[in-house]
Amino acid sequence: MSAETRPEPCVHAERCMQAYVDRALSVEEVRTVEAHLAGCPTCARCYSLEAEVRTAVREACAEPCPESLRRELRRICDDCDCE
Amino acid sequence: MADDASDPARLAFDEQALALADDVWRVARRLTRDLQAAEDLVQEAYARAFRSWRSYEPGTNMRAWLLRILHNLAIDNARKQQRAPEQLGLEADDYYLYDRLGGAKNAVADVDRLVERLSPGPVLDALSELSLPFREVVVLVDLGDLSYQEAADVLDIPVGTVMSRLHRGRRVLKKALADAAGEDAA
Repeated sequence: MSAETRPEPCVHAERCMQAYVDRALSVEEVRTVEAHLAGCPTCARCYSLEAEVRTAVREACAEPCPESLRRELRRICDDCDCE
Repeated sequence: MADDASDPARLAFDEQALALADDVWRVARRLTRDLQAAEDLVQEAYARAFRSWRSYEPGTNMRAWLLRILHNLAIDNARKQQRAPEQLGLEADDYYLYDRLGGAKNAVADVDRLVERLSPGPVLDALSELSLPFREVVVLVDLGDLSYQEAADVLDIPVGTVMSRLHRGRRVLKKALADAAGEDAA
């Protein structure tokens, strides 16, 4: 579906999607978006996929700091000559 | 300064900074091309942070402060390597990408399958293919957990630029993941 043929509330929901997923919308905006999503499976599916992609990025990059590096950072901390 | 080591404020700073090592590491890992470069970058960033700990303002977001130091060092390194900007494949419509990511119309089943399809390999490949200005915004917001404003402060760019780079960066990511999902399904 192209932007020209989508209903206005869907176009608005698409514009808000990134900020919604990043929790950057106001409470009022969240309410408006969620009311739309409750009645629009197409937009709800897009939001769900957007959140999934973000989760996938976080999970793919979840490796913890290596222990050897953590020890080295502690050593750097202990040896530091502060300004 | 010899008496810094017993200063309670310094001790608190040290512990708080070291507790953020995982977050700093994850960002560094995606801003550099290999493990060794990431380790060097994190060590350099922490050395600088410990040296200038007095410039950190208690009560502000230390993660953002550390990531700003890290980012400045990463930019210096990237400039030294003089990477050419890459072309972004932005012609595809978002809905087309969602269709390719999600497959057919059964939303719940599609999301289940999507999680399986987005295994770490293709995600990491897609991230590493993003050019640095886009990758760093995605990484700071998604992995560093910074707000748009904090990311803007770290990168010294307007918040609107953070939002547009994030949008475009994620779009390229989604396109790459849709392509990977398509290859798996073929």
